[in-house]
Amino acid sequence: MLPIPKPEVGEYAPYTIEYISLVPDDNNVLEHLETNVTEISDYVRTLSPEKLTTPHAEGEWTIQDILVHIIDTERVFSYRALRIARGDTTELPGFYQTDYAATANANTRTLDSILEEYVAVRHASLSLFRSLDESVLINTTVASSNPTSVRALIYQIAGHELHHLESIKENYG
Amino acid sequence: MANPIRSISKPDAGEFPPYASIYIDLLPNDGQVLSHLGTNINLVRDTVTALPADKLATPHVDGEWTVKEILVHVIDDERIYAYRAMRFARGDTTELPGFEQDTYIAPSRANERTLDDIFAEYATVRQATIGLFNSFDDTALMRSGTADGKQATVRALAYHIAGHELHHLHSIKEHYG
Repeated sequence: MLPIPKPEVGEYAPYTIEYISLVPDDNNVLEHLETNVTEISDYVRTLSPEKLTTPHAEGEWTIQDILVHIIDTERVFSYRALRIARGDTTELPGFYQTDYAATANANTRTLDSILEEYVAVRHASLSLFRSLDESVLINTTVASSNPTSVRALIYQIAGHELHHLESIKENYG
Repeated sequence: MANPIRSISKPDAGEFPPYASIYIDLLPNDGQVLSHLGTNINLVRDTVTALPADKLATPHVDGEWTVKEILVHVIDDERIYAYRAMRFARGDTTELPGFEQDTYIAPSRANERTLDDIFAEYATVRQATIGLFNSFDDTALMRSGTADGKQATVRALAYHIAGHELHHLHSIKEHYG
């Protein structure tokens, strides 16, 4: 699979290093994207429906809220990656994740429906990233007020997922 | 798909910009837009794979898009419209940018890709689109937002995606068939 080196400082919003640093420094981010979706699916499938839809503390997201948030975020980031990879320099808007969780109705969905969408979105992200020429991976445009490269978005998707997998295990495991 | 496919009624006039009726009118009024999305990709694949290989990467007239460029344009367009649908469905009222479709063609390097590779990507994007619209409740389908200065409802975007594909299927048949 196409090796993709980690982004350098200046290619991503500074706070996202928290996510990017969770991804191994082995250039195999596409492989990690492929296997991590299975890891997170396998993990949440071991949990009861009640555990999936009950927040661990008042006001926190449930596991199903978190899963749909990961999917929504991946849709936003892969959209940005497409535009930036096509050389589009339009500044791209951010999004308010807290508002999204309130309207996503994740807790009324079945886990199967969520995981089916999760896998579909992951495959769509991977097919985009695999189709890209190496030369566009460092294309950079402003998204959510920060310069962002294509490869930074790929690492952010992977790291954001790992961040939430860790927090799910910590708070619900 | 393991999960049942929901029906989505056709949007009324006023739920989409007037120009989009050239796409939306191509869909039957049966509420089965997600099923059509699931099968129409096969119509496109059957049509394109029946064409001689030398027709796939050569424009029918100078300056027009090739068949492979059209296919990648359909995919890119679907990614962008599905993204808009997700944001609108979540109640996000941020005005979203348009995109200059002609400038996407050259960087897409569509003519250097194999047809198998393009259709593999097409299929993954289609499944992600169906998964998205299938997850919406009736309230989400009727939410609207603005992209490229034009307002549309979520369900109108589902029909727009499906109609845009049919529009290009027809033009491929007309110009390359």
